[in-house]
Amino acid sequence: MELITKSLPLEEIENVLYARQFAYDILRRFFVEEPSREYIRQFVQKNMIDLFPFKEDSPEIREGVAAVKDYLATHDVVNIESHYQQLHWDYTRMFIGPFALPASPWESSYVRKDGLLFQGTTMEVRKLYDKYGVAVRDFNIEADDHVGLELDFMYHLNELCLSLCQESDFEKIKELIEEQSKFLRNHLLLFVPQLCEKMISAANTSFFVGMAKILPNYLKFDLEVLHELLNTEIH
Amino acid sequence: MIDLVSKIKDFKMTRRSFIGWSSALAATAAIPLGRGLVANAQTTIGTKESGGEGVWKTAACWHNCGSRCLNKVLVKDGVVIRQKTDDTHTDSPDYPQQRGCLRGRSQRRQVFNADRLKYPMKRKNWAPGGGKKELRGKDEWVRISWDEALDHIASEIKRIKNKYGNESIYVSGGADIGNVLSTVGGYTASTGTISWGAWLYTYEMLGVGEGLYVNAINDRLDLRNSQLIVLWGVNPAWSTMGSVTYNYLQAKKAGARFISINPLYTDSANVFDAEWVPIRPGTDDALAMGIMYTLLKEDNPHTNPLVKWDFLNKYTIGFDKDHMPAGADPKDNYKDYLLGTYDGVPKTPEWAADICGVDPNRIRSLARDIGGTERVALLTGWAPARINNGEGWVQTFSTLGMMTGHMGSTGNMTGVSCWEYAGNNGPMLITGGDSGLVPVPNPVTNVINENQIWDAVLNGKFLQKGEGEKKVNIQMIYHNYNNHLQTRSNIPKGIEAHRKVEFVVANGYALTTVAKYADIVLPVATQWETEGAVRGGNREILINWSKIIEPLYESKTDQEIAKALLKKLGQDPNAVYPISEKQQYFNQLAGSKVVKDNGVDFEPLCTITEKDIKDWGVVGTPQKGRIPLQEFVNQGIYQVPRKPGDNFGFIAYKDFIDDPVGHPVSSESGKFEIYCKALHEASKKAFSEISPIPKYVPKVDGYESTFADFKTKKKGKYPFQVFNPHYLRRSHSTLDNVPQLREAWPNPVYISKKDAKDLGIKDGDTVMLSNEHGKTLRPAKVVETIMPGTVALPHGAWVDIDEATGVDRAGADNMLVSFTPTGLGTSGYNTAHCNVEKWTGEPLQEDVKWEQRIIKL
Repeated sequence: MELITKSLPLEEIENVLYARQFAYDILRRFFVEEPSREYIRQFVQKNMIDLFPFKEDSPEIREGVAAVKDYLATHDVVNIESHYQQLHWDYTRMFIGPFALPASPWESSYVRKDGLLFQGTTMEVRKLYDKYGVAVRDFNIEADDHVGLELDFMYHLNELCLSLCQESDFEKIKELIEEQSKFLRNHLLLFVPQLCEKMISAANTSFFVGMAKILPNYLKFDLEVLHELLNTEIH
Repeated sequence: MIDLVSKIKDFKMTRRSFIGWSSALAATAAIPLGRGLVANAQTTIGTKESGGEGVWKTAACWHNCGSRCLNKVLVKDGVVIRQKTDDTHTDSPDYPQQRGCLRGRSQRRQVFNADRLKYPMKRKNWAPGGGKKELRGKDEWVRISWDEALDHIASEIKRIKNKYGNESIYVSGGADIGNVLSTVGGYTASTGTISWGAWLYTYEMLGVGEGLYVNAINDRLDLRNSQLIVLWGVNPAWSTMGSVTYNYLQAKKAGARFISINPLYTDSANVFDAEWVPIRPGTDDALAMGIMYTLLKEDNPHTNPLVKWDFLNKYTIGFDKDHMPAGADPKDNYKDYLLGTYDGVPKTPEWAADICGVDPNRIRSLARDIGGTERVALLTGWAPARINNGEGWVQTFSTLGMMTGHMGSTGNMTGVSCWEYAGNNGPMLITGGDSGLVPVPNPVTNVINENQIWDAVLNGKFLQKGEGEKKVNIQMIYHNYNNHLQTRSNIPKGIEAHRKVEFVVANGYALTTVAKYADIVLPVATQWETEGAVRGGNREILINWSKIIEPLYESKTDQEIAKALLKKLGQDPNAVYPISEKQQYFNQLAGSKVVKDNGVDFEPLCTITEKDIKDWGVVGTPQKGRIPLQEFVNQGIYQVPRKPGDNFGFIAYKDFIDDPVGHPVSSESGKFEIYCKALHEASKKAFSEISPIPKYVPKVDGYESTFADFKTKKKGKYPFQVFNPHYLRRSHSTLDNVPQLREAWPNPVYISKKDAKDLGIKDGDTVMLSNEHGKTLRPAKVVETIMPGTVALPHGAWVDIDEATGVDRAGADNMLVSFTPTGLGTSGYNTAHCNVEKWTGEPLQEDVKWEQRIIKL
């Protein structure tokens, strides 16, 4: 562990947390389920993909953003039903079925020799969710180590950090940041790069190709951000 | 490596990022995720187990057992792994824990029992119109979908309603299915005196309390001031589990002497070291008359003041000829009835002994004890009044208390001590809020007395109380929230009625008796699987329980079933159920009130914040209360601590005693009515005439009916009296299917050693109890602790009839009770007669070894 070299006021830290809130909200929504009409409308009309943080720092994220924009430039998913359905089906086909899944969305599929769901890997993640008072809505119907749920969990922990900023509880904030860093290292980053490679070759839409490019690279950046935060004194 | 400091600068410089993020998030924040993470109910409600094993939550113990205790379950990974009871504070006599009994602690084995009804089913040989109706109760079952089940029920309701009218549909239990039927034109209902016996229809006219709606005895701290406690048909150790026996024990420690008048030597009598006075069921009024005769004879205002004349003169009417109500024949006074002035039959101890079986000298000594002790608690349960022609007993018992003045002062009380308020009457110190649901009024006015339900089905007529005989053509029976065929009826007759009608439906959590004889059964979720509720118990506590698990298998909550059925009937479910079950739970919590220290004013129990309302996802208003909402939900209980000298003490009737004119009792005259004209008049429009003063009458199916010739004491065909004590294996009929309770409480018939010897019956022998109504088997428990000539058949065993012989092997009490309506329509569960004989067929196996009622498809 490096020595703490920097010192930043809480408000500055909050800015970073807002950036993360924005990024994780987009990612969790597109990875946990098919895009809802309501959300995609806001996403397109507010040109949200253009605001994705760190695209200036990462050529891969830039590439991903461009792919998403390409798709939206040629498809009107808000107004044309068949375009929306195309996007919807791309998610269903890749992550839900009913055919063989070209990009299995569960951590278990990548980190376990047996590839079985609802085993130790699922339960480890479940325990962490439980520690923070959350659980999968479709308990025991959806496995807890689904990539979208793990992203939702990151979003949830970041939310907790933001609410702790109101109470200026520095110690708790640090604990939570450490927890997120561990979760990235021990879970998401163990399988997301592989999953996204599969997605890139399997996706029918450049939208999901773009998302697959953004996700692993953003996570790597976020791990660094968390690392920096841990080495920063908050005041 | 990222440079965070400059990155943050970047974010701020470009500005658009920060503003863009927040405005985008503001626009999308309200859009829900369909599959995301949600707050884990398991961790948001309850308290963490100290070893980190899981979360303790308060689980429903919802039965009508006559008590209310705290029941907690340890939930781990969505599974209930253990139970415990109240440990929310240190136990003390003044501030006792509300500890559960063996039944509550077996709750897990009811909810997760393999015999749960798992999906809707129909009888194999059922068809619209009934199909092979005679196969009800013995047919095979077919699993069907909810959709199919509800379609059948809705179309049969429509068909039967159109063909025979709404009156032809009988709904037992009212409740949610009552709401459904009321929405489409109404239904025929039933009512009865259930637990209360004769108290229910008489107390208001007599001006006394019945122990539940109207307080009749002092509070538990004042009970410690009694010198003599008479338990007249009272057995808290069996009938009111929880803290009641403990409260009585404090009186014992304070020096009280106990007398138990009961056909059984009870566990309570044992615990309190009571003097036991064995008595025949249904003859308590004769004993009380013998006592009162003795009091009159031995009373001397100067040397031996046994009768409190001042009390009688000031607070009662009808005791002697000088205190009769206007218009009454002075000869009809009670004193002259006791002395036999006009009927030539003085109600001497010898006269009473011939009927009730208590030795005359014992009767005289009881009179001296009760009349000669300064502070006496004369307590009765409802059981002695659950008899045919029982109204007179209520009046007789009350009169004894008035005559001895044991009412309205410290240590003195005469009245009912049972159910949740046993040994501890007084206004509630804490109350639950209203759910906010309004029941739908029933447009049909038919109300059948419970003694007549099956006769009405079979014979097409019944007595509408206060109106007269009415015709009815019942063609459909819908059971919900109850087990009427098991608990409210002469079972053989009930089965006949079930096999006559065109359609029978039952909602149930297991194959209960009503479900067994139905055409279609719908699986109901238990209270562990519903949102939650707030329930009172004794006056000091308020319990709330929350959902433990999602509905198991395909079961649905009662309200979900009602809503689905309304939809199938073309009605709007939201008109009947405008608020969710969660909102109903929240409303009950929000409306809960607790008494302030002054003992008069109330304040809200729960403090509720905007955040609470948001987290619960309900509609509400923030409020300031005594404890935070979350704390009440996590603890599951709030109990008002008590100590001697606090402002929560209670003396029954004290207002009336202090100021009889300003605070009259509920009777017509405003005084206690020993002569009660209203009772007499009401009986003329009911089932059999009741005298205005309490006169002894032989009870239908009572002691006298065990004789062919009572005068010569020649026994008849059914020489035994059989009565039905409440039994700790179950609560009424609920929980009787739980194997570990079956093992702990084997459910024998209790028979005296003397009778067993005469009949050649040994302990453990299978015996048959039979009469003109039915036959039932039980292993005999031969004891010296029961009045000879009587047998005790515990109440509520799930009837199990051998279709070849008609013999029930479960020992169901209502195989033998005739259900003859008498008086105002009191149900006489404890007056029945039977023959007892050694069973010559296959001996019974222990109940616990019986196959469970798990339906095999």
